[in-house]
Amino acid sequence: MVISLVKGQKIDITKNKPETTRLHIGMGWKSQHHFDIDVSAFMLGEDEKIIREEDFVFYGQPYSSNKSVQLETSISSVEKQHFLIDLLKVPTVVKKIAFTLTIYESELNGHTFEAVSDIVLRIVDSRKQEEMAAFPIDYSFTKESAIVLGSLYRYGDQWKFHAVGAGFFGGLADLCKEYGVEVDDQPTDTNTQVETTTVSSLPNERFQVVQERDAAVSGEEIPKQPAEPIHLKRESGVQFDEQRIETLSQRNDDLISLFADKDEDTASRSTGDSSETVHTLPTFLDDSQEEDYDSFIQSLTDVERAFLVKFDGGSISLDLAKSFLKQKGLMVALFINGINEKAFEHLGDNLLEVQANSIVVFDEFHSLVLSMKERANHEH
Amino acid sequence: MNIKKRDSTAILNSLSGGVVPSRGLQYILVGRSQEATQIIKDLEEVKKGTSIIKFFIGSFGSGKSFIQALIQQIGFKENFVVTKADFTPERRLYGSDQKAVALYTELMKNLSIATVPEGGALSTIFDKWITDVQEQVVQMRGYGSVELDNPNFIADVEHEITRLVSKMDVFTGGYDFARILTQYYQGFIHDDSELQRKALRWIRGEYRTKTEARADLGVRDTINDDNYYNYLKIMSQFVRQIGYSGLVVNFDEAINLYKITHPHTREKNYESILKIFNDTLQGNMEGLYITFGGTLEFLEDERRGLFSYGALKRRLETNRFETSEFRDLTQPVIKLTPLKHEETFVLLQKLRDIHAVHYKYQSNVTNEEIKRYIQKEYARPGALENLMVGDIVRGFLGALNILHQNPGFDRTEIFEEEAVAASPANINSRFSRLEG
Repeated sequence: MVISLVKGQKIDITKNKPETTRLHIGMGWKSQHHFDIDVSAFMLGEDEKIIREEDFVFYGQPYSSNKSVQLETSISSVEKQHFLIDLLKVPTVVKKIAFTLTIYESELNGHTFEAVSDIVLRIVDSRKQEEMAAFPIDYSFTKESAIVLGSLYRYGDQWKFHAVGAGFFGGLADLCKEYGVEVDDQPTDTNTQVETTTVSSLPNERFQVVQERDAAVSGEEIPKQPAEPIHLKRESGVQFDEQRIETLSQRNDDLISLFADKDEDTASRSTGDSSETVHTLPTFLDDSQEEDYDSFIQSLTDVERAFLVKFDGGSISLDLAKSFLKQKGLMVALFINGINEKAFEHLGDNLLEVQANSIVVFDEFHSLVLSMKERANHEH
Repeated sequence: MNIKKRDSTAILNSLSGGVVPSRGLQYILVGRSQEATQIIKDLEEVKKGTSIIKFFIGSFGSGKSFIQALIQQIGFKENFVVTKADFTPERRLYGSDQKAVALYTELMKNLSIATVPEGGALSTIFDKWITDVQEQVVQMRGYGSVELDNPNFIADVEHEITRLVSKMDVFTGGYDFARILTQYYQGFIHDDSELQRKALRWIRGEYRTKTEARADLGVRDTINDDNYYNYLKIMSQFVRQIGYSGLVVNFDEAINLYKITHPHTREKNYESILKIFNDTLQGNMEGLYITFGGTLEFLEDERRGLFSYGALKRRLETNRFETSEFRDLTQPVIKLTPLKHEETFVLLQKLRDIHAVHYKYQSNVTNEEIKRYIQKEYARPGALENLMVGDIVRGFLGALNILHQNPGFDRTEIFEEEAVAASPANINSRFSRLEG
């Protein structure tokens, strides 16, 4: 049964459900205007601050450092975006994962959640494909431009969910600050600060006072180099995932061979080799092709064979064809269709094309018709 | 890579012109293999006698038409009769002033089979059928051969035609359909191509008045806005009876239904979709595969899209549990997720290889250069929102053409970001004199 949550409610997620290890947390909303609404997840430590900046999952960083939390755009019409969470993979130092909604550049455009309705968060057991709980927001917001919808948190060795549903002023950058994520929206001046303190602590009379040894020991730790601030601007550079490229390429090769298998034409069968810039140029009349040609020629009736032998330079005039076929009591269109059907079956493609004044053989089968002609001459 | 010249020609020409090629799609099908496998499975089912309806939903340039072209290609291989029509302001599912029958006419004009892939296969289908019937009569009645000057033989064939078509009499309009086929046969026997043309005109729904139809062909009715759907059903039964696997109907540009301003007319059109939907899924029809291609608002807009029609919304809502990790492609709506950069990359790789095989040369465009090309394309302002894969492909083919025809062309202009390449070398050269 789906539990409908109210603001402030807390529920068990994994208690007595050891098989629930993968969660799908989806978020949906409706907006009158086409607002640019972003969902984010913050993986927080004991002190409600983010532990590693790589564990802030948002549009610019769609998965956490070990991929335990991933952001995806939904294909379902029920929700807009969702997170996939592998609970077993979430690092133990992470005590809480908070889910938020923010409006992109809300201040700039004056957008607030006032104009957004039907906000909902759904928790689905991804493995069993079973909806566990839904948190529909049935109250409205006014000037808020950020919402903390809820959070998953550890309770002993279990996971629980807390439906927060609280709105905030400010945007994603402010939320980030709240959770201790450094963003480059605000110019950080940590470097200059460090410098000034060093300068002031330096004694004025240099070389005269020798520092006590223990003072150095109790001195402050060297501050860590500030991490590269995260960009909230949407200017993603194009990155390529080599592994995906590999699988995609493989799948396409599989597909080509699937088509080739369906097609009885062995000549077009892919070798499955798509590596780098090595190409095999098509070879004409290899063995398998010759076999196909033979079976095609054998399938033809005497009239069809006699007709193809009449071709000159890969074509025959329509009048000539008509008069030839009329003697045999045959209709041109149907006759050509018959040959093409056989070609389709044995060669994997049509052989002839009816044009305005003539019937032509498709380029790649010129050699076939030529060899038929030669054979016919030989027999004579 | 092994590819037929006709396939590579179609691919390179069509893509350079910004349209979907009509053949050889498997070579450039990247990131849609799940969908392709599903289509193959679906068509297998249809072959066995079920009917299936599918909605392919995606934004502009996401590959709806591509998927439909793929369906056509697979359909040909599996011996289907395939047809297609785009919705326009003048062609709808429901409408007065011949707007609905215009859609049917378009479908009949575009009727294609593997051996007649460019449309206009109606007469070939009929001719083929008549030949088959004649041969059957020859065997059943013990005639020595097809005896076109023997009135008994002709009467027997006509009788057989009526008998076969009457199997389809369960459908309204089956009688007139049989009558038209007999007329077509008469035209064949008496070398009366005019009569045959009239019969085809009637089948295509081009007769506007009953009097005209009665005078020309002796039938009571015409195909019009109200009954065209029955004839579409008859056609799907007919092609199965004469040995094809079934009928594939591809409707594209469904946004034009969404754009109908009059709410009542729009709703009537959606009602027609509901009717087709119910007919296919309730087993009222055999061997029909119908697809619609449309954008997201056509489906999901609650005021004007299909979702504005309650009954359709219930039927078409996507599986709540579907994620891009776990797709459910058996449901009626298939959303085409936009291609990612990796897909674009593999696609361009394929095109480089196809281009090289087609023009018989060794390509020296490296994978790195392709990556840089994509990066460069996306570095343009607004690219993320507006750039479609089709555009990138067109540009890339243009680049390949230039490089192939002008080996001396400065390739950095295509593959390098501006003003980066040459500078380090220049700096060194300034000091080279001092070293010497």
